[in-house]
Amino acid sequence: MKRALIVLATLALSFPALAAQDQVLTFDHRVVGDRALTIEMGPVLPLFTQSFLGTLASTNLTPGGSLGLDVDFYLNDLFRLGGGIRGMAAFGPNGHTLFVVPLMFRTTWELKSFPWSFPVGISTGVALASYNSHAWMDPFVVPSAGVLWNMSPSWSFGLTASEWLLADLYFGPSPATTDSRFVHLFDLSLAAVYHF
Amino acid sequence: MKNTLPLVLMLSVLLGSCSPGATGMFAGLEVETKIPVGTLSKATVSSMAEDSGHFYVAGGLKLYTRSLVSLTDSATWTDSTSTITGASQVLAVASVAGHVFALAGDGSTNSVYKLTSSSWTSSPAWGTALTLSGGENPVAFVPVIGSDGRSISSLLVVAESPLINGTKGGFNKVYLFTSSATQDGLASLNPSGVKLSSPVTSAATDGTSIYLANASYLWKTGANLATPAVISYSWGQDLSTVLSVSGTTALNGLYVGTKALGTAGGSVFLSTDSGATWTSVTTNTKSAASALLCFTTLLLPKDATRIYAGTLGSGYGELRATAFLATPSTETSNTGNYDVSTLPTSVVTFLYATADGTTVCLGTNSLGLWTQGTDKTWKQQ
Repeated sequence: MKRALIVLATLALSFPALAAQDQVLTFDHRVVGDRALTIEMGPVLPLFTQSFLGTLASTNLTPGGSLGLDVDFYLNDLFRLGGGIRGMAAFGPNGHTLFVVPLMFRTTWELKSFPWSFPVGISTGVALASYNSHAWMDPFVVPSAGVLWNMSPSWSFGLTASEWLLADLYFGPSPATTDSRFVHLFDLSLAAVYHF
Repeated sequence: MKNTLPLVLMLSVLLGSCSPGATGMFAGLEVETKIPVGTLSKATVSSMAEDSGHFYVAGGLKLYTRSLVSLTDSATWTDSTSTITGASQVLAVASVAGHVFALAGDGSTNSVYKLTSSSWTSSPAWGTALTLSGGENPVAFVPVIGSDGRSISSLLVVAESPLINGTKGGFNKVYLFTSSATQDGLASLNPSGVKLSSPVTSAATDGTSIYLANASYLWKTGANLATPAVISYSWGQDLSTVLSVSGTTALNGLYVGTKALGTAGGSVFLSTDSGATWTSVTTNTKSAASALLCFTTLLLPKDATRIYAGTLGSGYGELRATAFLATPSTETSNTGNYDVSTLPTSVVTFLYATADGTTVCLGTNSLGLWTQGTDKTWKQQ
């Protein structure tokens, strides 16, 4: 009887300690050198274009889709740097396809509440845009925010929302400077992250 | 640094391969609208005519007609080929002061037909086939463009001689149909016994003389093809089109368009002294897509601000009144669907201005008939 009480007391005392250890050593804890490979896919909603004078107009594009692949390197548990490539396609009124392929550098902060992570980031780079046999390179900025569920030490899944801001710039005479546009696209993607 | 070199090289190649087109990509998308597919959308359209009641189009070896209402409305074209008795193919149509002519045949020999009434409703009525006085086979219509740069003052019928010992005898006669044309009112051109081995392809008048483009020659004749003489000048390439403009200030003069030859692109030349001296008014001999320019037709629309120049495979361009800087497909950037369609790389077979001046029509090879209204947007018929 006395021995049984000692075992129960030991177990009772160890439970809080084990619980505390769970909270500190969750498997979404990252250290410098950890890497993450992100695959994203989802719909893109063309929002509007904006001229230098501020005039807003319809993009005249159908909703499209995007596919992306990113690699990030953790600098600490909450901050990572990386780069990636995306591909986006949508259609014009006459069925011509607009392709936008951004090559991006990105920074991401991850706010965490185990098992959830809330990555907030910003990407920048140049995008190769192609439409109706014409092609051009546009600089861009993409702020993004998302939510990820850390299923295991290696895999996270979630949703990312991004606002693509392309600067379609021309300096004349053809195309004219007045043909420059800021292009706003909204990207909502399902994301799968592999940590390695 | 070594690792970034491939990336820099890749970006350089990508940037170097970028071709933005004449319009900003997204600015062009803003104005793009759906191009409706019409009856003539796949046809090769060779010519167009009109009278007081109808439009006529020769396309895909057929005759299409529609009522004379705005070409921007939804009226449809009717296949009226069968109304020409004895003809299975319609090669061309033309109209001179309300008289409508059709060039039609059975694939080997052709005839000229004249519409007998312009007030028809259900189907056009054609007279019997007109016979050329020399017995030649008519092969083409060449409208004589008036001095306003767009109206048709008279009509030439290019005739092919009968076979001589199995060999084609050349296009040694050109027949003139005037505004009062009947089968008896023909005058023929047979310049001093010179055999025209190539057909006349374009004609224009300054109100007194008629200018005929024929291979490397530009002929100048009297009012009824009288006293033909060659204007002595070397444009470097064969001529394809001629246009005479008077009555405006900035655009007056005699124009010729030339074909591409070898690696040399064509040009548009201007003479302001009736052909004595010439100056090229096009600065480039390639289109924006780097294709050699080969001009096919010239026209001055009623607004008389720019001369339209059709090309072989580079669409059409607009020559500015004060600065002739443009090449086809660079001066058409904001005209609605032009840039987004395949017009910038199409063959323009003819340009035609409707009599009321509201519409410019553009015939193409395999891309049907396009019309440009006063809003400058292009629509497919």
